[in-house]
Amino acid sequence: MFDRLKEAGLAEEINVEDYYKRYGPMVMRRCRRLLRDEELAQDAMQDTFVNLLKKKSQLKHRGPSSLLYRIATNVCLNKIRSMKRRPEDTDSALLARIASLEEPESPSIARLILIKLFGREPASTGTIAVLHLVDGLTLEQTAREVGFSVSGVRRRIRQLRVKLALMEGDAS
Amino acid sequence: MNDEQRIPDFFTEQDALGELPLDCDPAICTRLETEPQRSARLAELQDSNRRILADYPPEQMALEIKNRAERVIKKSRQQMALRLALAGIPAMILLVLAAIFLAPAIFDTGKPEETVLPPEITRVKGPARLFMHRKLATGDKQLKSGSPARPGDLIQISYLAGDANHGVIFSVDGRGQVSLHFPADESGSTTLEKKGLINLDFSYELDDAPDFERFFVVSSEDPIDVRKVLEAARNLGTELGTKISLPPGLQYKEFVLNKKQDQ
Repeated sequence: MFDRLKEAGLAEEINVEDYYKRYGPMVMRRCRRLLRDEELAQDAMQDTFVNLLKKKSQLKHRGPSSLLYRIATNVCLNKIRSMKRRPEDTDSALLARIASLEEPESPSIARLILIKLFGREPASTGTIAVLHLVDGLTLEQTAREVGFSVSGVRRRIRQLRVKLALMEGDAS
Repeated sequence: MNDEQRIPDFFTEQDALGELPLDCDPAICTRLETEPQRSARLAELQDSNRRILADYPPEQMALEIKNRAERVIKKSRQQMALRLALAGIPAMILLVLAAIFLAPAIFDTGKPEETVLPPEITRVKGPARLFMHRKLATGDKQLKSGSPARPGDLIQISYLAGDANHGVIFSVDGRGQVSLHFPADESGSTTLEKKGLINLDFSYELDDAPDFERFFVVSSEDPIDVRKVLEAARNLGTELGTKISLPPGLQYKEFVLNKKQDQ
């Protein structure tokens, strides 16, 4: 069973059940908070662990909780992007706008090569924005978490704010 | 947004898992350790953990996750096979050959540059100076001032302190936007390390600003007022070659990357 996982070298070093027992609840809470929908949250939680299997090489660089939190954020942003319902509160509305500004990540060869090259996947602007604007991490804390310089994070946030402002202008 | 009263969930989750990083922000770690409600908060998370694991049992979830991962792998392989089939065998052969022989060009289409890393220099005289490396498939590639670069390039910034004890590193892009690279913020220490070539502890991603990115290291024997340096930087404008007007006693070296926009 799960021959493809082993063949792809994805399952041998990660005991999915042990990881789930330890980190599953944290991931589920994260997905619930961002998605506000139990069914979607469970779906996102499973997707998060699937992504962890694909990104296991990054585990040696950072603690699993940190990596899983970022993966879950990104997975949820992708789901929010495809949701049709209207946001119910301020945070949800902000998340929806952040999500709409980015294209979903594609599992392209180039992207996989880049991940291989740099040892860790560069955080998306969406993930950075959620950590800072929604979760309330400071610029310094966000920079430390995603491995960017403070000025790099500040610049991305600034660019995103401009896009959000333009989007609001278009909508009004 | 950054409410002083509320510790972000991200940190409380890490605290509950015992995975706060060693370099944890003291402002957060101290609050986490000393807040009176800590034990209640941890108990609440443990209670939530129990409920979630009861609602979504580990054995069943692990099975579903593995099944889902298998489907993802199968699907991505099918998509890859389909793409290759559509491209045809000749194209596939060309692709393989291109991947083998032209891989570096995928990441760097600029002029060939020396790939020699700077020599181990333990002592140089004069003001601090900058070195840049682009991260590539074949390893880090040393750049010279004037080298071409593209939006999205990841640049490692390094410096040699020389005779200087203090320094400020920043860049100005083609829009005149200033980014501070060292110290991390305007109130940080400007003390330079003097043990040879020092890498800043992050890579800098070039954005889509046009024309160029000018990097500067301003150095001195004495501590530097970062705000004054940045103020001078903001007056540089968007012209390449303009001189920066610094307070007395400060010296600077510049390193330019010429931006090529993707077509």
